[in-house]
Amino acid sequence: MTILVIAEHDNATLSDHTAKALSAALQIGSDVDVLVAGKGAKGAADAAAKLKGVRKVLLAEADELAERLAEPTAALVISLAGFYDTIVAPATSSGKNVAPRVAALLDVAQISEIIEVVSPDTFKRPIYAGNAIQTVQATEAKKVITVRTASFAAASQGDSAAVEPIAAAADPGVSAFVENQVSKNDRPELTSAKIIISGGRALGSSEKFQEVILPVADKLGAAVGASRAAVDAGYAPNDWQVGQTGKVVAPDLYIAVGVSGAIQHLAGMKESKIIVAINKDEEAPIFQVADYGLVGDLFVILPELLKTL
Amino acid sequence: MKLLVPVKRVVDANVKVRVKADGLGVELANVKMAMNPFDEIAVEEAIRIKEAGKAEEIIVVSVGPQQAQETLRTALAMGADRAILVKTDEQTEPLGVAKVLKGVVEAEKPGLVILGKQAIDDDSNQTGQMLAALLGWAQGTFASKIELAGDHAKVTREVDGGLQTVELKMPAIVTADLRLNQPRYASLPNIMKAKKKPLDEKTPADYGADVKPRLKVIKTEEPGGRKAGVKVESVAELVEKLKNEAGVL
Amino acid sequence: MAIPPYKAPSRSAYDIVIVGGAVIGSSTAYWLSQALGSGASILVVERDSSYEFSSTALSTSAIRQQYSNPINVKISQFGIEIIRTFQERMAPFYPNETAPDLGFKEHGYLYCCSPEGVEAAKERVELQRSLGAHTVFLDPGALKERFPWLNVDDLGGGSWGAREEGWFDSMGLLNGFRRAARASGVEYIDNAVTGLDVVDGRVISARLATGETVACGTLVNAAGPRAQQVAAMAGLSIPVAPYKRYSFVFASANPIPGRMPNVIDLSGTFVRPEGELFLTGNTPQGDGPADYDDFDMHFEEFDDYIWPSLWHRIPAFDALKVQTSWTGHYEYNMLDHNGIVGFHPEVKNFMFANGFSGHGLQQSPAVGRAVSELIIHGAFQTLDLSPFCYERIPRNEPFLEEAVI
Repeated sequence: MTILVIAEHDNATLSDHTAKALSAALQIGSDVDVLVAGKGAKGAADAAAKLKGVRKVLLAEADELAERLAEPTAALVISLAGFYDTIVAPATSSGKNVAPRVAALLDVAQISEIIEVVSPDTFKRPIYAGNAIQTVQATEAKKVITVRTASFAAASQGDSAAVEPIAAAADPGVSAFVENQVSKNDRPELTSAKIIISGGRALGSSEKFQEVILPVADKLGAAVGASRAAVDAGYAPNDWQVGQTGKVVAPDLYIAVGVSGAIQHLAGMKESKIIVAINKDEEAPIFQVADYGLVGDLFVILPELLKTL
Repeated sequence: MKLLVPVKRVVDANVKVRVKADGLGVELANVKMAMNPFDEIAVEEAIRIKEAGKAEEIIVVSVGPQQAQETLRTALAMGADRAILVKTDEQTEPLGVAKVLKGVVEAEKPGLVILGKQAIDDDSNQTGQMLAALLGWAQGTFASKIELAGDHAKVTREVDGGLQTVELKMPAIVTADLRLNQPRYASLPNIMKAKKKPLDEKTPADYGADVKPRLKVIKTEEPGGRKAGVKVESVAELVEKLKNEAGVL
Repeated sequence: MAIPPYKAPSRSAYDIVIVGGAVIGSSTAYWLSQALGSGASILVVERDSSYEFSSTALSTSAIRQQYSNPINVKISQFGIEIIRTFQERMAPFYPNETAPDLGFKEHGYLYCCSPEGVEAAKERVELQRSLGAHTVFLDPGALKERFPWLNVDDLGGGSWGAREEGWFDSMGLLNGFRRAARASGVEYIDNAVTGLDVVDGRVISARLATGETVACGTLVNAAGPRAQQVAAMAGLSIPVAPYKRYSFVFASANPIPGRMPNVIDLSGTFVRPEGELFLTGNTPQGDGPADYDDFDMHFEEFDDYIWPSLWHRIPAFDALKVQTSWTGHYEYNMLDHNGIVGFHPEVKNFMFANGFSGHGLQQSPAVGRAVSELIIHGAFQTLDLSPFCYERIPRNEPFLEEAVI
């Protein structure tokens, strides 16, 4: 079983996602090569060569690969595909951009965002935003897989594989890079945020809501929600309301601060993956759904949380 | 220029799906279905391009069961001009759908195909890229902005850590991300009018496409059940648990 | 949500056992505890204290004075007094924090009236005004002037409660009553009553799902849509069954300016603002008794019936999108859709507080107080709720209320 891992990097440095995708690849088979496609990417290639379990690193450099545009990167992978049974990419925006293009050019299915290798041809992957887990088996000789890197530990360092320069494929010439912009830290939308921090009536005023909740939200890159009681009391705007008559959310992490947890609020957030409740009232219904509960005064706990994060 | 927008009928985003007791999929009986939210954004973008005078016709297409017609009618009510239902009861996979769409593209010759970046049922995030590959076209995935100028499209993409702008030679494929636009709501009068807009029915065979699944679904299960909640004693313990036990920080 | 684990009661006998710990049961427990202090033992048995499927939590949570029966108007007036003063009333039970305010949105109800219905509507308005309500009748011109977004073309007018009608926080009311009752010595347990032992015309004990039997001096049926299940345990029968009601929360492309009331269209569709969103519903097609555990949603009710009526009455509602929806149960009295309040004539310590047919939440303050009066004094002390007596059921004498939503 020979496997090619498409590296995630920024030319100079190798991303941790590569080491994690490598771990998944090594669970599929032992002959694993890493492809570093870029420009001036020796730094990333050398870092990849140090990862334990790498057989060799292929380094392809060309102008059109500098930003790993999908079209020339896929063409490059296709030029190598004959040597590999399985092609693995981390499910980063770059990996998700390239891998399906490769799969289609090979006329095979792609298995997206695996979270577990059951056997070399069978994998687990989340569907319905993680509300169900599917076990799928590839029926084709060649496999293209993207890896949800959060589910795999990074391969450790210690080896020194060879870095082999290879030629880039012909550029299909249909796309060009214009520019990159580093993201401004806009607060995410409530319904698509990965983390939400919500405030309830216990905040006591609009000023306190702003003062206590928002800094933690910004630190976490979280969206801000509110209970109906907090909205009714004027502490938070209407469009922050989570619940039966507001928004329904299911982030990875939901932090409910001073929210008692009337069933109507729970209806809007109980499908969140991890729920944290911070409340003075030990009997507040929110603790019934919380994975982690912290009983205490939110005006003491939140500043401390801000410092700890 | 014609615009082609493929749309998928999926379980409504607000519905929490339940895995079927037999482990062979999720419960779809009496579940609210709707247009895939990312596809709604794609339809909206096409309408805006047409409203800006840069396209003449919007064709929406869906590959799926007879009921996918309702999804197409929604797109027509939003403002698409005509619809094609490529009817199949197969559990289609992105590659099969991309093959059908390739046939539709060859028949309709659009200047731009806009798709949702991902369907919220199978979460594959593949179809747009695969269609681009099969056509040999450029792809602008996860778009948050599209600017058309002559025979090029400038697409701003949402990538890890920021935005990337690329210039694509047209015809091209764009996949829509969340921030591309806020889709309009179909109005009741337009929903009624949409019933009279043309909707063609085809089959995958009409486009010479094989949509048989390539993957074997062994089972579908609930994610690891929620563990009983615990009370933590301190902020430090909370943060430690969120980082190391829950893995969400 | 999981039903919380059941617990055994702390005693084997109670003066009063209340079956059902949602708003009717909790209001009853509250009034009893305030009147009796620690002089009586009271047990409230709640089958699901997450209240996920309780009619209280799934209610659209509104209160009005626009009824055709004086007693219903007076019941609401008392409810409004309680809602308005709830924070003060609850303050003693929230020693170190602010007691909850119920967020009463006093936007009023606007009942649309057909040209044929004008006379009857004006009579109702007069009746309500004579009892102190602020209802006014607006002819189509005045209606259009006040609510320019309303289509009045096919209306004879509308009656509008300018004050003391609106919507509020249902769970806040329940939680307050419950907290106050518990703080005053009432015991709440997660458990279900599975049987009642009746001897010589009295319920002597209640059997629990966990196997215990508790003796009781008085048994109160506050089981909401499951009222008939509890009645049957004592060999009794009331025509109360769960009727499904679908609620839809939608966004509108066009906002409605100003202070929008709860509009009741001629079609029966109601709609009111909820922040930037709107809440709507209507009696579903083919309405009838449902299974106790049937909370399945019928999405087509919105697209096929509700939306067309909304668009007709409020043309700005042409482009809408449903954001959330849920199904709740009315505890529907099939005889006359009014409550049943009082002891059974033969099983003399069996108290009904049932069948409120969609008015239970708004009537709960007055009903709980009335039930406590009957238990303590054997007669009503404040509002006379005898029109709601059980005896009308076997006599088949409906006590009709014309203004039903």
